[in-house]
Amino acid sequence: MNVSEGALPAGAAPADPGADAAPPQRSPARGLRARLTGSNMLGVIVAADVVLVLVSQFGLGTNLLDRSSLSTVTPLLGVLILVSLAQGVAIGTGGIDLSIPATITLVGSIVLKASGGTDARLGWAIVVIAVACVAIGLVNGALVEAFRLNALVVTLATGQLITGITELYQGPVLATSNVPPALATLAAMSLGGVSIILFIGVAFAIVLALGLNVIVPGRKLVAASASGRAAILAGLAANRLRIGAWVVATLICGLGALLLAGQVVTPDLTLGSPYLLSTVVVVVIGGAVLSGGRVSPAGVVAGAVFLTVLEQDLQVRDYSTAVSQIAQGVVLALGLAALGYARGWRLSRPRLRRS
Amino acid sequence: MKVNAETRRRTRGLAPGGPLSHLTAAWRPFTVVIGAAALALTAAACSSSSSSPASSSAAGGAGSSAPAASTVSDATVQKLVDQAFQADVSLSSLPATVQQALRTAAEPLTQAQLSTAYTCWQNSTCSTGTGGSTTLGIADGFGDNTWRQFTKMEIILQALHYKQVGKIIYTNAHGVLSQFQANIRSLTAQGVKAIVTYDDFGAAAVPAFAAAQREGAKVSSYVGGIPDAPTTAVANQVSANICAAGTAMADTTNTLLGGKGQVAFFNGTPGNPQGEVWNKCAEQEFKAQGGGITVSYEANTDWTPAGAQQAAAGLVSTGKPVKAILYDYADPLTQVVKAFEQAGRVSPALVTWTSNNALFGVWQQDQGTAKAFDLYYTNGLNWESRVSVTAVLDMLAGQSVPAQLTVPMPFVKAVKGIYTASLPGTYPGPSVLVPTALVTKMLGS
Repeated sequence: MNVSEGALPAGAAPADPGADAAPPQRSPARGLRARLTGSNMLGVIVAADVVLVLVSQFGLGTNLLDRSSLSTVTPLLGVLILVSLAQGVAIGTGGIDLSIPATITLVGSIVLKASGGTDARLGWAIVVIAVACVAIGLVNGALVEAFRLNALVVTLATGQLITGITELYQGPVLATSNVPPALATLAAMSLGGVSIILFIGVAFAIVLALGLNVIVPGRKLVAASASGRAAILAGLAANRLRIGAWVVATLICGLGALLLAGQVVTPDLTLGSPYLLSTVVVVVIGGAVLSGGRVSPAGVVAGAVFLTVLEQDLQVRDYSTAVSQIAQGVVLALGLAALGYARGWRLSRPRLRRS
Repeated sequence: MKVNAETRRRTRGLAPGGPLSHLTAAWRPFTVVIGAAALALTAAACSSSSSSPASSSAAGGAGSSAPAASTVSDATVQKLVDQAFQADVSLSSLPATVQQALRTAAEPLTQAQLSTAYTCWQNSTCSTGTGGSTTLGIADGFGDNTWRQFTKMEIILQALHYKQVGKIIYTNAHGVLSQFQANIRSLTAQGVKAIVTYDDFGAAAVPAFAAAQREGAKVSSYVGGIPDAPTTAVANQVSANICAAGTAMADTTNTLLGGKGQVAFFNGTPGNPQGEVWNKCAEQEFKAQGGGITVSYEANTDWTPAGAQQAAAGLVSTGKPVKAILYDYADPLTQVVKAFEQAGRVSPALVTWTSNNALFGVWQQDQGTAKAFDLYYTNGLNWESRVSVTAVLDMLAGQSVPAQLTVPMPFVKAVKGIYTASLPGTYPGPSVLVPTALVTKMLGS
């Protein structure tokens, strides 16, 4: 009887894999998992955006593409893109920045107090904002990258510090409650109903994408973010680059906060509150991995569109804030699950090795 | 693979024992300790509960007397009432404790007392200089806006009329329930016997209040009612009848719209009891008036500008022809007006509780233009805190004070001249009873 290769003779026991056996080779990903990679994830979220917009416009009656809707939704979307880009840069280093809401609120206070509500001092207010953002980024970056502290804990702590500093800086009552007219006018500008803030947000996403993919410092930053050890071995000043990433992230956040303050006109101590979880959700559904690595600015834009449209739909349909928060949580969980699935995680029982 | 010298140099710091290891293994315990200390210091600095006083003289005792007999005339007091309510409300129609509180408020304070008030306002803890044995505690659920800061000053000014109040302690929970509860426990632990509060958390804070009253304190809440709170927890509440306010809003809207049209309800935080009550009563009144007015949109705003902007964006997107928005807080409404103007639409009529200088400014600016809209508002409600001060001190003195002091909250149509350009947008309006000189000082701080 011929025994075909691999077949066992009748009655023979299967070979004991034993400790000397080589670990089983993982079979190449097949089907959906194979298709969920890198740029495909971007395609997935963009497709989801298109579907959601169409459903909103034609199914739910939210008149999303109506000029009046665009004028109210696009400023919020533009701000979310900018602060989510900031979060994306932080997440790209393998960290997370939970001090973003506090930074946004601080920027709002600086705009009011440093400018005194006048255009003449708006430039000075912007300088103060830039200095504050650089300082916050350096502190976060140094604590996370140089001292190797956990980013979640560090940024929670710095967020508290920033909140306290904001209250001390602002004082109990501010004599100025309106941002400078020039800033308010800029933030209110629109083209065809689409806010200039959205244009600025998209432009920054493009600049960031080019910076991370085309220019050498950006590519070094991506390398340093993806793996600090490998970057050091390759001769990169990984720590400096990653600290630089934190500074860049906070500066982008500062820009978003400045435009938000202009949009709101009367920023108060609640300015940054909505941006704690939402920025993380946007970055995750945009395809970023929370352990660090390449972050797609295009994915962040697509994620921001998805979340903004979803929240607008819930608002228009009279669902409460609680439902909106539940929706954010569900979207985050599904986004993480999709990412995990794409990277080969599987639900399986752990294999027990025979000794 | 050969490891060359260059690689060894680069990787030296990564290996245990290398020069850079002082930033890793050896220093980690110290960084943890430093981080923990920094966190603790931050918590202490940011905490709104005051530090324990050095002396134990903060223990409150029963106040023995009300302020000296009033020297101001009824006409002067009535003028103050007119200012407080921004409408014609007769002094004699008010509950006795409210009358007493406003009479006390009408008494002038000395320059020294006004200086003391400013000092107390700037600090969490202060001595009034009277040597009184009673400590007044202020438990604010969310003190981080101008309305709350002016209310704090109203409380301080009222307390300075009472010689038995020797110390004032202010706490701010920054919108965090656990912090609010801790603050009340802290006040109790410091022996504070007179507590006035704006409870942003409703029934959740009742156990903490009950514990304070078990220790002999008296608690009075102002503005934000705490439905179903027993008197064993909150001895007195000073507020408008929220249902009556909802009914009044509906009546005002009905008159404004001629009995027909769609309206929107904007509320604060989701599920807050205030909104639930006035919404229900307003809807009942609309039905009772013939049902021509329907509520076609409701949204929560968290009482923040961002929340109001989101709510307005949602309303604009629906395309519904809402003719009036009913809301229980004026401050964020400038965002609503702005959202409609950005969308190229005229703002619906606004019927709102409280006052806000920025809203008045926007309204006044739009008058006489195509963007003009109707505005109905109430007084700022800050002065209700003064009644709470009088109520707790009267109770500590053994006087009988009703568990509920209900004050009217008339809605007033905005007229030109309501806006004060020299004051910030967040100023709660002309019903604030803080002297002008002190307002200027507060805004310059």
